[in-house]
Amino acid sequence: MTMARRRSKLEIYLDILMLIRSGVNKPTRIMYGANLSWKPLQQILKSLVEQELIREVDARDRRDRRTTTYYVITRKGENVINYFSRARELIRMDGMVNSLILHE
Amino acid sequence: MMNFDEKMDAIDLIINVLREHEKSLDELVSRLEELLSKAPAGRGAEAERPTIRALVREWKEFRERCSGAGIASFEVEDKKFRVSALKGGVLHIYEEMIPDMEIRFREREDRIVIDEVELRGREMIPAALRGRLNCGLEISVKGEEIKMPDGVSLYRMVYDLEAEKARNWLANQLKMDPKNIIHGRIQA
Repeated sequence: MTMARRRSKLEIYLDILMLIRSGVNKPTRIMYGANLSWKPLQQILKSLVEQELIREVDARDRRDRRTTTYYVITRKGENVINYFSRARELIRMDGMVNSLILHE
Repeated sequence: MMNFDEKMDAIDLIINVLREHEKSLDELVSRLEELLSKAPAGRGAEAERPTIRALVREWKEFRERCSGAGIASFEVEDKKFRVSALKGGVLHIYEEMIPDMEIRFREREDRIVIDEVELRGREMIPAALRGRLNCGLEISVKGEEIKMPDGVSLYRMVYDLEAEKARNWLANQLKMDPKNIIHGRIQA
């Protein structure tokens, strides 16, 4: 059995942002997708809203009139995802270049 | 290429995550401090609960081992001066006999002739003559004369120590607060 590496807080934040951008926007769905329990997820969502990386939207269901909360990514959230995606890509490319140089 | 807004937003997130880390650490530190502040009495007692007793023969060694001890006690029992000090989970004990001297003499003209001097042990000779225990503590001396029927007199020298004097002397020797020195006994 292999142990999964413990994610950093920053990685968890980015995972949640990417999930929301991909359309996984309901709290329970995000919780399953990000592999988190309810309480930590609520704290992180609150923090992301405060940082204006996501926006909380309350929508009323037409059938049973219940209010459901979902989240949408903001422009700032998009910027953060783009920045880290490119940074990851640069690190990956750098690793590939290094391994090519070592094998020469 | 990455634009300025992206960089700033990413840095903003990193800073906020670090700030949350700091907040978590602050909370942990506060909880730890709170736990420690509640602990001292229990913790001290636990840490200072003696596991062994050590009978130390020489006062010099006792003084060195027990310097700055948390608690100490002294008492006189059966003509024995006993000091106990708790340090490093060890109850150190020092004991020393208090001398008791009897002089038998008779008067001959204007002089006295000593027939016998009686002491309970030879190690007590210096203490009896100096009025000071071997550890250095001063002892008070009282004398009483008893006339015997055969013209012989018995002079009994009774040595004793004053509790407050002993407490202050011990505090000085062991570099302790006199408040932490009990006239009585601490037991393991």
